[in-house]
Amino acid sequence: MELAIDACSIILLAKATVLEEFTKWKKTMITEGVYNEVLEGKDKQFLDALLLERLVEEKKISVEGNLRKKMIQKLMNDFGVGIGEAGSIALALESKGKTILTDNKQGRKAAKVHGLKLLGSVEVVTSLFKKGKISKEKTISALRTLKDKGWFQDHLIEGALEEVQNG
Amino acid sequence: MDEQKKFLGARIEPEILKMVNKVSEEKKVDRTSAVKMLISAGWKELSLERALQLYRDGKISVDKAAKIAGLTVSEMMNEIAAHGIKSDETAEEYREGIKLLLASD
Repeated sequence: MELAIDACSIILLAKATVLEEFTKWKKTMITEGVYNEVLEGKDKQFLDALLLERLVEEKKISVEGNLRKKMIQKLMNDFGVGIGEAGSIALALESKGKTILTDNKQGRKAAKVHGLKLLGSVEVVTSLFKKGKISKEKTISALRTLKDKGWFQDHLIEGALEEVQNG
Repeated sequence: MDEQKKFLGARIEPEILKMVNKVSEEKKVDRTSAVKMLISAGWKELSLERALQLYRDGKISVDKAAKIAGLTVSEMMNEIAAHGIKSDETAEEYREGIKLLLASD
């Protein structure tokens, strides 16, 4: 399975400290736009920026260029998304897997309109646990970090935590 | 550089003048610099407010909001969360996501 990830999900998975484990499990791709957006935080020593830089250097995440500019521009106009998000959707559309990992409201909307398979960071964490890629303790810690970030609705994280604790 | 600067004259209320004087005193800068600092801070605040509103209304993405607010994507995400704006992912989408991830291994 290959999938495209946007900046939002890269940042959330990096903060939850499971990005590297995920890239070992699934073939992950980002666009140059996403890479540049996340790396803007490098000067401020953001963990996500430093980690993404290393994972790209180690070829655990591939950076794709040469996307159709016309398609990206259309996505930007139709959905009010930036170049990183538009590029991620275009990348998913052009890939074999037709799958995108995004926690961005507009990105998810655009993905649904274009019939892409959609993933979010919370199910990535739970699935890593279900597949035995991370321990129960690490999973709980990652889900609590996501909860503390305040990005997701509480019931979504609470449900995932319950699933893991009973699993 | 100086010839690119433009003159701007404006009548301001005594309360605003008090703010200028206070910033000038606290930051130990002249009043022109204090006015510039206040305008710059106000601009940042207004840009962030606009970015948050557009994001809340579902008109723009996080990366576009970050551009408008002059922040990194990571900083913009913190602002969005701090203002109580949540992802709209549903429990059903979450379950579908798990199925997809586990099936495609």
